[in-house]
Amino acid sequence: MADIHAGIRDVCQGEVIELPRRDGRERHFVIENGEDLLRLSQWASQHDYYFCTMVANDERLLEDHIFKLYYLFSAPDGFLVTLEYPLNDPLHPTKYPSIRPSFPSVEPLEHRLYDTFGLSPHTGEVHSGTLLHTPYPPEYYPLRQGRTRDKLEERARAYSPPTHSASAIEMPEGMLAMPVGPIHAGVIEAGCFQFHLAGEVIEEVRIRLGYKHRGIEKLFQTSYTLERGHELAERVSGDASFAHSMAFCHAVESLAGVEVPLAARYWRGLLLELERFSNHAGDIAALVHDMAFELLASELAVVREQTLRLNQRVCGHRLLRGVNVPGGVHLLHRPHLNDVQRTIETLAARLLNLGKSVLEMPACRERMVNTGVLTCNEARTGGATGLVARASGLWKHDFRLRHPCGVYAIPALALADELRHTVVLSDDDLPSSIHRRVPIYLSDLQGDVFARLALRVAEAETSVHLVARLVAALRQKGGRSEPLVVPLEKLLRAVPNFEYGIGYAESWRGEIIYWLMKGPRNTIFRCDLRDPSLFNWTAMRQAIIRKPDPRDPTGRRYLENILADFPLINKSFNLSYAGHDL
Amino acid sequence: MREGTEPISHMARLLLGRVFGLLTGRRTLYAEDAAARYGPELARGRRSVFVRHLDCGSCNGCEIELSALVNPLYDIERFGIRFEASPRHADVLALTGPFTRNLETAAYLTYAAMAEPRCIVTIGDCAHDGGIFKDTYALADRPAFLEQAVVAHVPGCPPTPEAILRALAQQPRGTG
Ligand code: SF4
Repeated sequence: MADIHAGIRDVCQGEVIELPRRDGRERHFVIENGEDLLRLSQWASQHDYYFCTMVANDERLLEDHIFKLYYLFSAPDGFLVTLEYPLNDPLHPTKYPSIRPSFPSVEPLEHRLYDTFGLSPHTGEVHSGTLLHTPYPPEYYPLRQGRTRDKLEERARAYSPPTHSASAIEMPEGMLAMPVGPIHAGVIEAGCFQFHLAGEVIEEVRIRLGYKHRGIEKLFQTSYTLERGHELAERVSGDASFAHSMAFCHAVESLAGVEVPLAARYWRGLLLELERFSNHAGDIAALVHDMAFELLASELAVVREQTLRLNQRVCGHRLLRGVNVPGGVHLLHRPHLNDVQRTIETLAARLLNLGKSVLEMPACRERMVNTGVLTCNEARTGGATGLVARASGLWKHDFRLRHPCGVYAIPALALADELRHTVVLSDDDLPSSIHRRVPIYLSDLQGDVFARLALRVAEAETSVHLVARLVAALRQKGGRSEPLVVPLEKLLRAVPNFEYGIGYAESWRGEIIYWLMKGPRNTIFRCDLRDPSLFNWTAMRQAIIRKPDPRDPTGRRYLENILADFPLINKSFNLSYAGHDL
Repeated sequence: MREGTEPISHMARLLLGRVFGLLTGRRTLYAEDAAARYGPELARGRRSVFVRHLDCGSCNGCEIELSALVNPLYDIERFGIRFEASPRHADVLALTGPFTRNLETAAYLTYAAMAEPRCIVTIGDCAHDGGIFKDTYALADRPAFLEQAVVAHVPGCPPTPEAILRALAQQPRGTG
């Protein structure tokens, strides 16, 4: 039984209080005892819970006068479980028990909390400087309440960082250190990789990010309201603009307790799938380009460009910005459904044909198969998410299936059917209503570059099928006069202050989660957001380094990648720097 | 068009276009489309502009549009504009993002590595004055010497590829 109540009954000794949530798919428990929290998280990891995020909140000015942590888990039975843990030890008001032993994926979040809140775990090491590098004064803690922007600015300005001195990197004998970045040779984002090489083979890679830290969480809290925050959410990570704003809007809507109009749900689903299609097309193009198949890459890049132009025609923005608003969608005009349908069909035909030839080409396979392997086990324990996790064999890990909301929760559309058959388990398992032009089998998903590429092709195809269904549904609906937005302002005002809402959306990279706490007058008291890249950067390191091949019973064979494989692996993951750095 | 034959016929078209272009001195099919869009003055440029992109904390939106410029529909290289891997080779620094504190040093070093004459084109609203990120603690002030090197700004969030193309093509060209 994966019911959290059973777990609490079995392992918790102290008192655990369940608080009611408006949304029936959410659960909230207050756990005051640190030991209980550790035991319960261990129980959860044994019962296939997925750790989503850990939100810290400075509630020292509220009634409890302490910091609080909210752990968010996705339960296999479809519930979102929040464990609230108050840091109520008067001797150590900034210390918390670490759930790292049961969920190693929490580690980057712990480092982050140390930088932004000054909270640190009792056990396990945290280091500062993952988000705030040397230009920031020590003990800056920008997310604590009361640290206004002016005060922060002032402190940062007055601080003169220690002068930069290049220090030699200590390396074991025979190894070579090769730092790359933060400015890369190309039109890419900024981040730093430090390779440790033994000959050509990459033994280890240290990934240092945070260069693009823009203080987005604080900005939400100081300059935006619940009704306007979507504008900033769209600009967290440009390539997932729509998914980000959708997750933000979902959080606001769940706070207000409304469901957006049906037609708006259709449009959201449709545009989310368009975003997925266009980014997958772009990724496939980039990957093929890195394998030096220029002609194919150019063809694919054209497909990608055409989808951006379609976006422009549908909603007036190439990256689908300005469409989502809390309460629904905002379309300047009713787009031509025929155009959407026809364009996406033609593009899909091209993409799938090209994708198929890439997947079958021996020279491509040679480079991709067994390169950058992230094993199923590593993906599970490391908390990898989204497409990366699915390509390692965890094909069910998809928030559209785990926690369907919006259009994915409408049974009549049966979108889940399509989603479930993105990966073909066996040929006779395929129902007659599902047709796959480029079938990808579960055995293809070995966690290597090939698997990630193949899955991108398959997901692009699924997206096209979903778009077709949604276009049909919209056509059937007709209903020109129906409003696409419900006004939220009054509803939001009625919500008590310091309530929180959770919103999520499955972007093309994986699930994006927003955690919003309402402040007085519809302000945002706390906004925490988690981009899927956060966990997947750790996964990428795992995929690059040299390690024993788990499939080899003798344990003598190693999985290794050489430096020239790195661009390929990096592209196959294609993670967001901006979404990680916030 | 029948399914299955598509990409081949498409590639064939591209190849045919190239051959046709060579024979008749006209540009390929894709290029024709673009020349009609941007007018002849872009195509007339005789010298090259080498561009180095510098990310100072963008949201990646501007990068999407910058990299769209190399696809065959814009094919920026036919105007003599090229994205360079090293600042040493570049005439123009295409700066995106609001200039975060953490990237300050890296940005100086990149600019310092460029050879004279050099200039900066800021791309996107947030490279101009911080844009939507104006009010955060995480931005550094751009020093005067960088500010003075800015010769053009392309507004938009993100600007369209056409707008970026125009701005880059109009920059004083290197000696190449
Ligand atoms: S201008 Fe807009 S699109 Fe460009 S980096 Fe800034 S926020 Fe992103």
